[in-house]
Amino acid sequence: MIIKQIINDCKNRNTKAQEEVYKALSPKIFAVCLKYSRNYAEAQDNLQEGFLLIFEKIEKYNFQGSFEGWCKRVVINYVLQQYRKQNIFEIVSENIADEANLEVEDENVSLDFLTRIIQELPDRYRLVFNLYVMDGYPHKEIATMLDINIGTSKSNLARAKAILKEKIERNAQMAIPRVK
Amino acid sequence: MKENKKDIERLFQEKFKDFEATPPLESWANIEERLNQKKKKRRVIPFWFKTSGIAATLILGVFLFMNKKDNLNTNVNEVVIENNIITNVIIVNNLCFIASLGMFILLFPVFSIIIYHIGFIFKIKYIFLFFII
Repeated sequence: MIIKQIINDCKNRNTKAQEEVYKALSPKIFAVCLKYSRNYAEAQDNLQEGFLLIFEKIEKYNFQGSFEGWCKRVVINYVLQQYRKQNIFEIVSENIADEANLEVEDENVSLDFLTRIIQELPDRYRLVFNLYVMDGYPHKEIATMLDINIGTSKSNLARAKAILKEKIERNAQMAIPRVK
Repeated sequence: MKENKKDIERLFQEKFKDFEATPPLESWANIEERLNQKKKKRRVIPFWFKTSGIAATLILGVFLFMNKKDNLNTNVNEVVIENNIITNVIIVNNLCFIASLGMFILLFPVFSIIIYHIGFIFKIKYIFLFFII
């Protein structure tokens, strides 16, 4: 929990206060970066740029809503902006029916493995999956954020889930002989 | 068998609910370095303003002092050489004009800095308008 005084000190560019904020929030922000980035190195870059942006924009934070949530949004928007610059959103639109039966066995799946398979997803699938599943954004908002239409957002999500399911199942099959 | 299965969305939501990851140690050092660079850049302009303000007041002080001396000399000239009065008046008038113009140019940044700082302290954005009125 970050107290108001520290945030106000950050608004006055106090380095000690900035370090306090970093210490308190960096594990959570880095978790966001790991999920939204292609790999560890890119996540590290996004973390650094994200925090610089947080400290730059902190004057605009008016203590409405949680500070942690505000910081996460700043970082997520930064990451999306980077991808927008790279023009990754020009993927051909695919129409994949939303499969109802996307269930997997959750035993023996480590957080590291799940993080890795998220990172391995094509850029837009990864972003849509994270925004929808992890951060609870509705398709309508995702469509605006990524400048795509709602149908594309939905089909990207379905595709992402199908890929993830396949990888989890393949991993489970491979893990069995290793246990024996 | 069915009970062990979980919807893929729920699986990810539950696994990542309290997900935290410690970033590499050098990350903060990198951020700190960049923050310090930004601070230095920000300081350049006010510092320049302040020095120019001090310089302007010094030059103005010297200028006014010299001007005062000139005025005394012209008074003496008026009495001694009557024929030259008109030319002297013109010179004095010109000097006054140049001095006031110089004063305005030199004092403008000084006043603007003072006004800016007063506005900054009391958080009045449109303080310039008060002074114009």
